[in-house]
Amino acid sequence: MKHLDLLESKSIYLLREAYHLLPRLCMLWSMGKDSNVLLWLTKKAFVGRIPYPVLHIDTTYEFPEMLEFRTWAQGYYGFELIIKINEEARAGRGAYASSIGYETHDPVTVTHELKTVALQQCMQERSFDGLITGIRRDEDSTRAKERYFSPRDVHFKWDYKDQPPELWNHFSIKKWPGGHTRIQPLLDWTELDIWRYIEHENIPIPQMYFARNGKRYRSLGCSPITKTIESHASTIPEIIEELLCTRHSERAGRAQDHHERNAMQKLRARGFL
Amino acid sequence: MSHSSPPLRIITVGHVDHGKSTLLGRLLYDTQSLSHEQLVSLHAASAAEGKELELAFVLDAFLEEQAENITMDITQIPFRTAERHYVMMDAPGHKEFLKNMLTGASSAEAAILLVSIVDGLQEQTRRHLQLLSLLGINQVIVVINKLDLIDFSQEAFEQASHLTQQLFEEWSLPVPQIIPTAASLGENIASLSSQMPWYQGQTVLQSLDALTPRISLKTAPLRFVIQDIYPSGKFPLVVGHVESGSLSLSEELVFWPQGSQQRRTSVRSIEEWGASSSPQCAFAGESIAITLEDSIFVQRGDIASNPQELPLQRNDLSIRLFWLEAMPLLMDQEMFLQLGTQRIPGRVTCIENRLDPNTMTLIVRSPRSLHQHEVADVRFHVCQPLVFDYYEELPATGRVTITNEKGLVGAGIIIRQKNESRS
Repeated sequence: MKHLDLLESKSIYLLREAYHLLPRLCMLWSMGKDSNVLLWLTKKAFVGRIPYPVLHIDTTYEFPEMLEFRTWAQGYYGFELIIKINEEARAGRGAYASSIGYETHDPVTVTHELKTVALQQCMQERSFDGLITGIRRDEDSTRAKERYFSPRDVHFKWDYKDQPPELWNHFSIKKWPGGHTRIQPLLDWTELDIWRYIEHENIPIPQMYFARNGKRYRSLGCSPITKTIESHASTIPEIIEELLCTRHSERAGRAQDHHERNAMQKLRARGFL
Repeated sequence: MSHSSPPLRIITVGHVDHGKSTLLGRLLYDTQSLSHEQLVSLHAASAAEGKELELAFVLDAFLEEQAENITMDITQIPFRTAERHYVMMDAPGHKEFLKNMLTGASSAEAAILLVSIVDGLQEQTRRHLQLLSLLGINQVIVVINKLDLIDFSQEAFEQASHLTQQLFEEWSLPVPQIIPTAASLGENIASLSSQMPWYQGQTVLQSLDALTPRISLKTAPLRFVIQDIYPSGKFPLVVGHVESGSLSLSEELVFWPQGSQQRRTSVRSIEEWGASSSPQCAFAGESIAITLEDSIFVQRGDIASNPQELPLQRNDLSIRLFWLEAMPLLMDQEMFLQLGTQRIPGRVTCIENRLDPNTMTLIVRSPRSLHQHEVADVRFHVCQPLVFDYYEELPATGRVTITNEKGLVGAGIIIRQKNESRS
């Protein structure tokens, strides 16, 4: 079997297992390239249907082009879309003494409050017990240690010191009050695989990944803390060519990852993707 | 689709502190596989821990791992040479993290076994080798490491190499290639060492490129594992994974358990969303959706075969079992046996031949219990017939896991008992 076929098959298997094992499932969608591959794989796994709600955690710092893509894609695919904002944190109400934002806080704090906490609120409100994510092992050294089915407790804590064994496509689901299971069907994919698959399948993605005036976004996040890279890659084959030669990592332009030593481990242990 | 082959999955195993993470870190470093940002954080982490350059930190990403110089969980890193792509998996060497080692090893095609020349063959060296053998990983490269600590002595290497060969022979494993290295210095990793002119064999990198990928299961008997049935008008979709063999349009399928006349029908269509033309056949490794010609009863857990090459179905099985859980396995406790998508309640009725992983000798004949990290041959009784193949004949449908309320607690392979025939 060819490499991409094998990756696709494994992801489809995982999505179908998740759908069988977890009655209240939802899928995260950031409108980024990996998220759109997840949507595509869902369509393949369920032969044209998207049988669970799609969740966008809106930090209110989204690029306008991403929001346009969100509206377009919802019409194109026809899924149930949940948009969640941590309103209290943005407004400085309730548990928050003041408004949380990039203007006043460091990127690790903002990422935690506007992404992780917003996700917690939504999971609780809708009593979801399964969350499909698009993380990949090659993005970050702590993601490299993840499982396909990863249990999180009610506080979203990742117990990375005691992860469950996974063998031969057998996964055990831990049932605990308020906890959930993360299903991570793209763990085995690399950034290059994602681009080759997008090219092969012709998957719609936002145009911000393609170079304009000598710059493009390699990874997309909140607008104030996401940087462009120097690039002339304006087509997918050019992006693939660029990635084969680069010595820089994919998330170099994402400020929250590099805020301090092991920033991702700290964010992730508290529930970040 | 893509023209590239799947990456070869390699795991490093061996006793704690024999240099597994350092070897992989060095391999990635010397082949310029690390990004600019990885190098920056590697230097920062090394400095924070008061070290010059600790290559193991490329893999050991957790603060706890870096502070204590240990590996807690498997790290998987993609890596490519001019020859091909790899996924390198770094396994922990501590006994308490054996379940993590097993998680990685269960998907590996080959292994690098590290032995420190200073400590020699240790408990985890033997345990890991035992697990590799249980998992059927017979391509093993042995790396005798830390030669720098004994002045690159050829004599010491030859002695260690001899003992390792003996161990492989005792377990009837193919005699491996053995490479002397000093991973922290990069000796014999990506290029031949000038410190060991007496060694003219392959470097670790060359020996990786010389491994052979597993053969395809396309021509093996068909085993189509059913995951689910999705409603879809008159013809429901039967979805699942082709573990081995192939199936094609209008071909007759036999559904198991039973495999009776009432459980036979042919493939009406193979459905693929977005495909320009519908597929005519499907092969081992593919996740597929099909519709059937006749409306027969099919459910999750079933396995479909072709009418010529049938699987076995039985209530009593012999399993070579590795026990993962801290609570010992006791006879007659209820648990679930899983194979493919089958999940059937049952119990161990007899524990035979419990082995000491240190010496691979029999500890107890017919013990009452099996403790964490022990391997034994057991008899397992399931309350409904399990559909299976012997591991030696068809590994994909010959391996099982055991679960109870604690999760996944055991893993094993189905073995043929003496005097047991296929019928």
